[in-house]
Amino acid sequence: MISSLLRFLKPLSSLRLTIVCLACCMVLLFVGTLDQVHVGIFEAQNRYFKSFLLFFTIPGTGFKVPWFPGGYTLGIVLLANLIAAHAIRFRFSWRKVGIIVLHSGIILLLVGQLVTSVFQVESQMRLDQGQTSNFSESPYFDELAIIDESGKDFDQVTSIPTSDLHRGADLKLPGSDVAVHVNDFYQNAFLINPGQLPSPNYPHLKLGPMAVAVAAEPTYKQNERNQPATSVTISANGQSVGNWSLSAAFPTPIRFQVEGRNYQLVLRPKRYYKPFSVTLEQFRHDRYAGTDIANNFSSKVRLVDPSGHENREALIFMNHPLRYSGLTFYQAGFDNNDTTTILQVVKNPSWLTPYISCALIVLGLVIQFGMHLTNFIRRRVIA
Amino acid sequence: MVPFDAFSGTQAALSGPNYGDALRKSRVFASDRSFRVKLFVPGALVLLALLGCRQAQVEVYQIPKEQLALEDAGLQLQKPQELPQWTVPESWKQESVSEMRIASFAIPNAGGKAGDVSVTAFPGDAGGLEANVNRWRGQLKLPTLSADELAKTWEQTTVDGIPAVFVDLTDNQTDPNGQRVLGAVLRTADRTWFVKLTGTNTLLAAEKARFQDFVRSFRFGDSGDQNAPPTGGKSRSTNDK
Repeated sequence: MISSLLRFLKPLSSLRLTIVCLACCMVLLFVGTLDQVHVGIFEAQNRYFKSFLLFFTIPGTGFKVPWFPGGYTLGIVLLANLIAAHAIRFRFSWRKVGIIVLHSGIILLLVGQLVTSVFQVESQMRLDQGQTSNFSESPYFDELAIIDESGKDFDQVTSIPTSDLHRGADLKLPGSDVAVHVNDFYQNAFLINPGQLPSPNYPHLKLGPMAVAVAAEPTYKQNERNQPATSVTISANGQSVGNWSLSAAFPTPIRFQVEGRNYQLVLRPKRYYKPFSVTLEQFRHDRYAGTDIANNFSSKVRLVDPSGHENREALIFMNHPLRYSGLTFYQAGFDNNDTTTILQVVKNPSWLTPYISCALIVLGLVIQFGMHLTNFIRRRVIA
Repeated sequence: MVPFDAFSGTQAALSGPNYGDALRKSRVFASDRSFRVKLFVPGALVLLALLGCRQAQVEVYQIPKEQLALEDAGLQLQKPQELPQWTVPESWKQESVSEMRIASFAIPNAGGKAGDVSVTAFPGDAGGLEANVNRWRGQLKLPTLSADELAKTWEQTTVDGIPAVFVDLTDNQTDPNGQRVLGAVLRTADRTWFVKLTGTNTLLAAEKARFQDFVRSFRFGDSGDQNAPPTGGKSRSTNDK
């Protein structure tokens, strides 16, 4: 068993493999950075760096052929390569302590990046002047939320990611008799007036007397987001409750009742609720005197956490985020003639690992080169 | 020097110049290596399990009723959309609102189809003034016009200090039963308000003054902004130049 594992690990610990992987990383970084111009940062990250393989679609066939390893594959192979090398080759000696510390830093960096890529959640909190909010919304993902309002003090939210919505999908709400059948789903849609349809039979979802949704090509532009639309049938115990068409561009909840319980149905940006609230007291967009060039963006907010008895003001500005309850609030944007602030809310359980890794790498280098230097000086003194 | 094995915690007290070679041959490291190799497999499985966590899944959670959550925090939820005050002409009949309409009125038309008044509001510039007026033109099968051409067809004014535009569109001026649209677009700081009257040429000719009085009666209170920009735009990143 061990000997067969060793046979497997030996080629994995090869230095050639390290060099090939690093070269592939450089190619991946180059191609991904170039393609970012076309598909935006988010899609480029998903396609090139948060994927196992890159695919090429044969024109006219829709057939996808893998052509290059993605970031996950390269990262995992590099990590395995490093660990395998340690498992097989390295053994401890004080003379190599620097290299071991340095490699530990690199391993921590790779593992930390993997944990970040899996567990990091980015969202945005949009606040008008004086507005209070206790949730942030995803700038990329949407959800079909079914909210049971019948509770006295609490609403129960069932959030279905749009990745689960496709034509013909049947979804049963956990712990409930309510089921959702997806009649149609558009990943991105335009809202137009019914009179603007090319023909009455053109595929569309009727949202109301004044608006219909028609399918559009998904967008990857930096300053745009996809606005999905869907048509669903809600049923309870096999009995249809109703058919509704919804659009994320117009996230007005639809209300319905099932066995005396009140529900809301809404297609909206995915929400992340917080156990505390944030109020925008003042947003500032300062400019250099006599010009339109910005020299400062800042948001003065009040953070109130009833459970933690927290009630304080905080000023968020460039390189000075607000950190609270495992979340970091950065100043990200503004809107509405400088009356609305947009805060980037980042939850990253391994945000400290890059700092620790870099410290370990620097420490390892200092130890290793320091020892070489000491030996060198000692030899010169002896000579 | 005393080599120390970090994995097994075993110390091999060896001395002499060839202690490195001695270590390589030592059985202590052979068994230790197998231990490290065994560690490799569960490590790889943990990595794969981690990657499996990325899949978005159905989530069920409870939230305090939104109003309650904020009252608990000693704060009050700002009203999502404050409605302006207005004066409705006596002859107009209030209708139930639909999901997009803030207000809806019917204008009785003896012997003909009733006129339909709608008030709607959308965040920001709602796609732009020109696009919306061209959308109305499209409903009457009128050709799309450029921004410069459109500017010649509308009347710019202010209502309660808010920039406003009146449009008057018809598909056939000579036909008394031709379709006509009277519209007004008002731009407050954070949203665009659309007031639209649809009906026949004859009815709207009689109602035009009342429609304009209705729009001019809009009072926005705090929801308006004297310094509102004439046109809005998308939200901007602080990285934008």
